[in-house]
Amino acid sequence: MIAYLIRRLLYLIPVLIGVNLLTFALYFIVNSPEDIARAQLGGKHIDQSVVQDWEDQHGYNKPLFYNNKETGIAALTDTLFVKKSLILFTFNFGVSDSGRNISHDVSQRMWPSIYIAIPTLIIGLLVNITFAMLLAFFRQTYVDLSGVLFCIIMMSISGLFYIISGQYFIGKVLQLVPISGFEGGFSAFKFVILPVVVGVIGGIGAGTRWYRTIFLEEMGKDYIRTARAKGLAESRVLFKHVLKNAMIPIVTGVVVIIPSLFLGSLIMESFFGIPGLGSYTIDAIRQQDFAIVRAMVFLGTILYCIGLIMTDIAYTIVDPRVRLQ
Amino acid sequence: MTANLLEVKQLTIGFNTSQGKMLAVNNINFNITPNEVVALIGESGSGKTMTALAVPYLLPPAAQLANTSQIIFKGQDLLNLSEVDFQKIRGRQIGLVFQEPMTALNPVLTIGNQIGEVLKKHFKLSKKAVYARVLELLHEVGIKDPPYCYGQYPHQLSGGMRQRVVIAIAIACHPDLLIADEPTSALDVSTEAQILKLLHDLQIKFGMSMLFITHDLNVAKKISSRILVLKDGNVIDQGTTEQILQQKKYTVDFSAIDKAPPIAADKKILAKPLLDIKELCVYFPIQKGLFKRTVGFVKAVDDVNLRLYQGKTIAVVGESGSGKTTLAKAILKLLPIYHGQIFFEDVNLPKSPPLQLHKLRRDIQIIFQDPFSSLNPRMLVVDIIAEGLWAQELIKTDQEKEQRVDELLEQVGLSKDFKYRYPHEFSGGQRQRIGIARALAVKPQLIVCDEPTSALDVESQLEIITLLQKLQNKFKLSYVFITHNIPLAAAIADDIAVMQQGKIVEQGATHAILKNPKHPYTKKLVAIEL
Amino acid sequence: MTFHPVILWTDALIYLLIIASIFCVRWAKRQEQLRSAWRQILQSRLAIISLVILVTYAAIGFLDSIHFRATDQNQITSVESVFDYLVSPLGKNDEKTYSAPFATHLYNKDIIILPNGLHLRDFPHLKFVDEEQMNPVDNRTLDIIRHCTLSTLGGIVIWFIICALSIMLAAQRQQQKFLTKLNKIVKEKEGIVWRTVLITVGVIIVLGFNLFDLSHAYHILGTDKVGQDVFYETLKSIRTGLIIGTLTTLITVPFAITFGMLSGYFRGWVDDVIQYVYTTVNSIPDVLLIAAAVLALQIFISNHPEFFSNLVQRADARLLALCIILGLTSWTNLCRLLRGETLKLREQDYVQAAIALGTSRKQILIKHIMPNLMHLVVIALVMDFSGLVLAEAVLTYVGVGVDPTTLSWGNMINAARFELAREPVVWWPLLAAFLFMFPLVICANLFADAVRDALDPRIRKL
Repeated sequence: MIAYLIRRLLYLIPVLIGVNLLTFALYFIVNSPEDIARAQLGGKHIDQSVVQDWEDQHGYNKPLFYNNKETGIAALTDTLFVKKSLILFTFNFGVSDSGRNISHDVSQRMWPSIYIAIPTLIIGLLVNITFAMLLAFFRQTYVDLSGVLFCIIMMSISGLFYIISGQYFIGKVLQLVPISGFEGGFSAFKFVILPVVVGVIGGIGAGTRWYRTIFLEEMGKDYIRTARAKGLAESRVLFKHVLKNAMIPIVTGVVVIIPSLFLGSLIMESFFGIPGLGSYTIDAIRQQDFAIVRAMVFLGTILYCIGLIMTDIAYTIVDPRVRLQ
Repeated sequence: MTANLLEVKQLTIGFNTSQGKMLAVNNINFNITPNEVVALIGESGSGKTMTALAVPYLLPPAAQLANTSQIIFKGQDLLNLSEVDFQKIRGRQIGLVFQEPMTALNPVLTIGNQIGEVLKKHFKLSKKAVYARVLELLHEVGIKDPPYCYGQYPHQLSGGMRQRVVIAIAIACHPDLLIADEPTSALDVSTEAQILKLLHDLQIKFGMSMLFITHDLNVAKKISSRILVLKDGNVIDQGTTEQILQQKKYTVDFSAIDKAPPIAADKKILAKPLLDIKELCVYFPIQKGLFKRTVGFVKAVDDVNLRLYQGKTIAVVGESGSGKTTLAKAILKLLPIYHGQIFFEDVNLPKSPPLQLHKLRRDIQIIFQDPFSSLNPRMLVVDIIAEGLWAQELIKTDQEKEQRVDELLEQVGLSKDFKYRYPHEFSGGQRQRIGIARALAVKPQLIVCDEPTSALDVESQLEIITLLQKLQNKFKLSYVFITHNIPLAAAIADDIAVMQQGKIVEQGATHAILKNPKHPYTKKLVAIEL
Repeated sequence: MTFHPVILWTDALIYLLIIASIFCVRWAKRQEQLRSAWRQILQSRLAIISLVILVTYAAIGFLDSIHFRATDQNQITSVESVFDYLVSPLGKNDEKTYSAPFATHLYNKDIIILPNGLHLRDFPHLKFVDEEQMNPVDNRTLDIIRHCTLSTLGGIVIWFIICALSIMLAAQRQQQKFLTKLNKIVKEKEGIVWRTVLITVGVIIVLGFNLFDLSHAYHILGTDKVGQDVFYETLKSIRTGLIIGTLTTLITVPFAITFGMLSGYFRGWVDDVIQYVYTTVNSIPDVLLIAAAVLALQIFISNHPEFFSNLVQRADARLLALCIILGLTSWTNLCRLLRGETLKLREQDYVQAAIALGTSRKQILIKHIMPNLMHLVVIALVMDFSGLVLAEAVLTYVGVGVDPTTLSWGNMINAARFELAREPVVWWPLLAAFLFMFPLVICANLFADAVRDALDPRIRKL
């Protein structure tokens, strides 16, 4: 098990280097630093010297891979690839193109994201599993059929509609909670509740349908027939036998996204004005601040990979058949 | 006053499919008296499993019972019971054993939990009493260390052990009726014998009635007193076991096959073997640790030596898992070979370069066990048969192809009209013939037959064997015939090699092996089969 | 007036896609398994209705993908599509700014210069909706009812003609009497297909007639901030949505099939490399990877204006770039699925038999592996479509979607955010986007469900 986890961790290194190379290629080879500078400064009619200044200021005034102005090891290290891309491995995210300290921003903005993401995940999970169990219990009846149709309708509506109409009716017409904004501490509640409700409702369609499929798949298996042959009541078959087996794909599916919760939801946070990492990223994208986008891509990858390893560990806990080798 | 424990009257089960309504069981009537063992035999698709599942009403949701159907158990019609009342009968008065022990147990619950559950449902017992009773049951079904087994999960047990656990669940409440749905067909021969004996002993011990479902008359005859034969949802025959056995209709009688006359060219046969396998080993590495070092091997085929002369047949006999299929694939070089030589005429297959190997593929062909997975469902029969002709560049034009395929279809006894059809339109036996035609197309000298009859119904088995013998005589073919069926091997092979755990434990001329088996394993196999 | 055809990049790919799908259908017709799946799909009324609606959407999208440039007495007009031509003057009837659905006046007060030269601040009349031309005794409601009645009647007549013609053709082909065939269809004696299709077509025709007629008299879904007809906008958005949903998969599929098959069949180092590539791509969170790639390309496009002769081409390039990026980031799941299936298939007896016969690897991959993967590809295609249409809206909101000048539901929803916040509320663009996006997505979902049920061997129907 330990050996397995170490091997998985080691496998992370080439993956992260791959991601690093990919983003480096996207930002520095498709577009030259000069293009980035011009985009930041706004337009192509900027004087060359202004561009040069900006590049100097942000450390873009280096060659890509080999610096022939330097000697020795510095020829390889004093390059854009090392200073802008590889340096992410030390979790030194540097300074954003607009001059902010990214690491500091990340540590500040992580928490509001968590405030939204965790309640949405937990409540959503409970709601979806309950609905899915209900549909599975009434399988192949009109309850199930109309439930599935309802799920398909729910998931055919763009998430943006849920947000906009939620804000409009609950926030603007009924004025129950503020439309957007955020405060720390206990007063966070009134800002968090609307995004969480909207997030849960938006996820019901796809979630319920997915869990229903898992339940029905388990219910078609032979051991369920054995359980029924024992004379067990249907509810007991469902709760003891089906749920316990269905938890394997459900738990492992959830564990993989837990680390990524820190990144928050781009759309939610931006609509509801939550100062989390999601809105941080979206602002960076809109302002074309590459330093931040690069840092977030790297961070997101690491969190996802941690999620994958946690999934493996979760498997050994929930499934007695799995032993990692 | 009714003497019958179970009466099934006018049982009719239908399915709604996209092609319309389909009857799985059509108006079946039978009864079981107390203490009696009745066997339902039939091939897959005959409706025997549906019949068995209908009694405790565990049919799949899409199945529909006709209104006129009655299942009278101890004088009451089960089909009129409410679901809650029915639950009091399942497990308590009717126990069930299923075919597939690998999937019949819940993978995430312990054995003890799963057996205890049925006791808790039907009796008011303390936790301690349940524990004691479960251990007792495990002991009764012949599990060696009950306390240890109690806390284990199903995947930690072997197939035979799991089937014992399923039986323990079924008999936990001393039911009056035990329904066993092919309880042994997923097991190997020696485990099958043990499980049959266990069921037989338990039936006598508890005085249960039993409904035993199987496809194999040889199994049924060992346990049942009465037999019903099902086909396409209808009972086509019934009677006492002796009556059914006397008819000899429902088993393949391989002894009826005429042994092929010896082939003339004896001088050549003495001269040199066609196939000479020396010290053949096929190992699969087991990798472990940080850097996936190879720490050991699964020895699927271990130090095998075989010789086969032209026009002869050698049968490789063994149970499932003994490595026979691996050996078959190794002879065709479909698997990487760890060590050893396979000489075909003068060429060593494992060492031959790709071009030479490509040419050699003409001479060695294979026929597979499962006629359903051996033909690509997306290809026309003509393309399947012609595949080798194109690959070996034996034909150049479509006209030649048509002509050659017609010829081949005729040789294997199929109509030319079948050419432009897809495999799914044919029966198992017909598909197997297509498979044979595909192998024959390249005019091989040696054909490896990997259990070519074991997935077929009784009639087709004989036909295919007869066809293979006819082709052997006509084309002077040599066969490596892989089978688990000793009577079949006895009927067609010149030599027999007995395989166990990757090794050949005994080999020699057929009559010598059968009359005077030396190795204990061979003795056991011969004793079970003959 | 002369017409010069203009073929945009996305147009060309759409034509390619249509040609490819014709070949696929012809191939599929010979495959018994796919034919029986098709028969099963046609058992479901919902699936048939969905399919007819999807075809209607596709027809609009296709008409909107045939572009030309009309030259009139040396005066070059902008690039238009056949669709624009058919619905004109819709799309050319711009007002000054917002106006509500069926309104006769603008939504905002503005300074009106009266004929006598006086300035007055009031709601100005719409240019397009001419109140003077209305029958003096009519009011607006009566006028709308009159339009509706006439076009409904017209629609029904046309529908009857279509029904009669198609039944006649079918009767002739099967050598039956017209009335027998009609009776069979009405009573659904030969399955539910015919009646369901005809009724759905009827509803669409009547609805279409109504909308077409009304849209020539009013702005039936109002106008947007710059005074453009919202109904026209949402109709034009159909093409954008369809392109994203289909072209993306066109790019995904070859990648997924090639890599999935190669890595599953050859295993070893080929498998290691391909697995590494898709693990890497997969481990970057979706939106971030797309955002990163789109940003990079956006800058590239804006820094190289010389590649594009006009705004339409530039917007088109950005749409295509989005499809390519979505495709390149989403092939991994299908690839993993196909790899797993190939691993299973290569152990099948018929593949082993092919190896034993000496069939070349290329032939094995093409003849034995690929045809047996196609059902998974089809399932993935139809399942992904609706997700991609929805993704367009989200990505556009994030700022990495289609060009702001491209008419799309994403842009409409994006604008709606501010329109809902203003007083008085402007609600119709959001409604318009919803009204046209929702049927497309739900039909795609329902149809995809039917396809999956019919093709997926894991879903047993017993």
